[in-house]
Amino acid sequence: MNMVLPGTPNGAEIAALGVEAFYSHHPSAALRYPAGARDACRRDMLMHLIYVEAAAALDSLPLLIDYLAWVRALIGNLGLPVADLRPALDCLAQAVEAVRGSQGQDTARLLRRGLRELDRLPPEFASLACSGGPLTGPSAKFLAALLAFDYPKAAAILFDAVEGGADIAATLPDIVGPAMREVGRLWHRGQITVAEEHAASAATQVIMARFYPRIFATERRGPVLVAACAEGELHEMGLRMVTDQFQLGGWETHFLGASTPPKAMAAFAARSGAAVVAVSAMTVASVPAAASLIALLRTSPGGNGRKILAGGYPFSVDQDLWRRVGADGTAADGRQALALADDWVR
Amino acid sequence: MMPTTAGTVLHCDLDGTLREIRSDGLGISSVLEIARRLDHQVVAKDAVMARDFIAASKRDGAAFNWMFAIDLAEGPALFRFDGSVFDGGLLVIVGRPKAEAATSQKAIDAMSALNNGLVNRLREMARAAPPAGMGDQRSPPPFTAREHEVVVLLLDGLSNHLIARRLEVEESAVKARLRTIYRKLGVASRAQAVKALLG
Ligand code: B12
Repeated sequence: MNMVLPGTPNGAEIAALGVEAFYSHHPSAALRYPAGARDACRRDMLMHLIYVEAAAALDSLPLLIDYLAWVRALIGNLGLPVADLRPALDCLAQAVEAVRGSQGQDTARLLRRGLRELDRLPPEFASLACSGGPLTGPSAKFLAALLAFDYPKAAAILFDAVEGGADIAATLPDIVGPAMREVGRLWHRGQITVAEEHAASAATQVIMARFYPRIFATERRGPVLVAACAEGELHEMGLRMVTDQFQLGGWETHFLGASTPPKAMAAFAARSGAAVVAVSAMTVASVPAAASLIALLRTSPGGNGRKILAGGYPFSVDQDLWRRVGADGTAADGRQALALADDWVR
Repeated sequence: MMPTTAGTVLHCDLDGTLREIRSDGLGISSVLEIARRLDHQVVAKDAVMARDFIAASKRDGAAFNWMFAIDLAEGPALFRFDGSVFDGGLLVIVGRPKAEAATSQKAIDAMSALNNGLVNRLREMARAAPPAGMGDQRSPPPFTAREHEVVVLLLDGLSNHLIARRLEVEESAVKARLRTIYRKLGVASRAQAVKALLG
């Protein structure tokens, strides 16, 4: 597998080339977009490049299509001309071919195929990140409190749910998970700002931290889990919930957090005698980094017999991805991950 | 697409000190103007919310120092903010429309890292603490949503009668909730409860 990591050399150059080609093939763009739009255009082009190259490195058409549908909807939600996406990506395909040689040709081929497939899908086809029904029950109340900046109330809703007799392991992810996914959809639809999204997720994390004394009060049986997000990956709430689920399930867990350097993860896993390591990636862009981390974990001390779990959003989009990144398994959430790992160490 | 993050930041400390921070767009500015202007600047604009968050921050102890920000020029109606936990507080940056996108992205990443760092420290603290009795000492009294409603109005100085009217419940229900609140706070009177809630 050819790993092309985000921030790859020449990324900016390719993006700039693509933008120049777009503007010269479509002179009307210069008139339609305000002056200075080229910078924004280059940034967007770089984002496309990073996602498309990651999908190509992973040989994943599903991930590419999911990204294309997601970005198409995002552009529409921002009130920008969706019709420009297709020609802009065609220009990107040419630019990547021109700069990257044969590897660029593979990327361009996948991109063109993805665009054709997207055209064939019904127009209402949506990215998995944009799908999902309306929120109900405590999740809806929790989100309403968050968006009203009423953090004490949001906390009270979680404490209420747990006091009602439900166990923490089942309750927290069931309330918080759907609320956070809805936060993502609201942001994507332009109904809340990134700032509001950020406040809501920061508050959620701190509220959930109030359960740590209870979570760590459970008896620990012994097997050690070490969990970390791939390098460059900043989404850590999901993996934290998975890790907490293991802690509640009697494991001793260590959560290394967002964007963990691979060597640090490998050293820590060896030192702590981990039976299982968990690696998370939430965007396509960080899956290649997850794959190289997994490769390092295999060959580093303690790697023999140690099981590797991989998970996060891309692994739900492309069901077979975990195999291709070299993991031993995946799971949609903490509950399933714990069941699988308990099986491994039994 | 990106939020704007340059502008005025208000950061509330546990003792109620309100710091007014001029943000240079990177979230945390080098100039900290410490301004004890809570009464004039926050309370005057939205007393209930201000008191509520201060009460919550005191109740929650060091790790839960919530803050409430308003753009000093525009008032609470124009919330455009980016918040994260910082030094044990929730730092909120009130946005100004013209900040550069790349800068605000950096600010977002920096804030996110600060927030993550804090939560991870809390996780390690919980591991290190002896399990027995830990929950009781550290966690704040877990008020239910109904109790929380009463707490807010109690701090506003409302009588049982007025609280009952505001919440559209019987006065006896208010008294019952107050008894649970007192028990959770470990106090015996209304005055003690207010004192405990406000630290
Ligand atoms: C909060 C959030 C953020 C926060 C994260 C804060 C934090 N400390 O975690 C911040 C602000 C950092 C952020 C940044 C970005 N985000 Co964001 N973010 C979200 C949001 C709203 C919630 C994430 C979350 O916590 N979900 C709740 C948890 C419970 O669910 P989860 O993460 O999926 O995890 C569960 C499973 O996936 C699984 N799992 C996860 N990891 C693992 C690992 C293993 C081993 C296993 C077995 C299972 C497993 O179990 C978990 C528990 O059930 C999502 C929306 C969404 N749909 O999730 C967007 C979302 C993920 N973000 C998105 C984007 C685009 C971004 C940015 C690129 C935005 C930008 N332009 O800057 C950046 C990327 C940053 C980076 N380099 O990584 C998109 C991704 C879309 C796509 N096509 O890839 C989403 C889907 C929003 C959307 N609807 O469009 N984001």
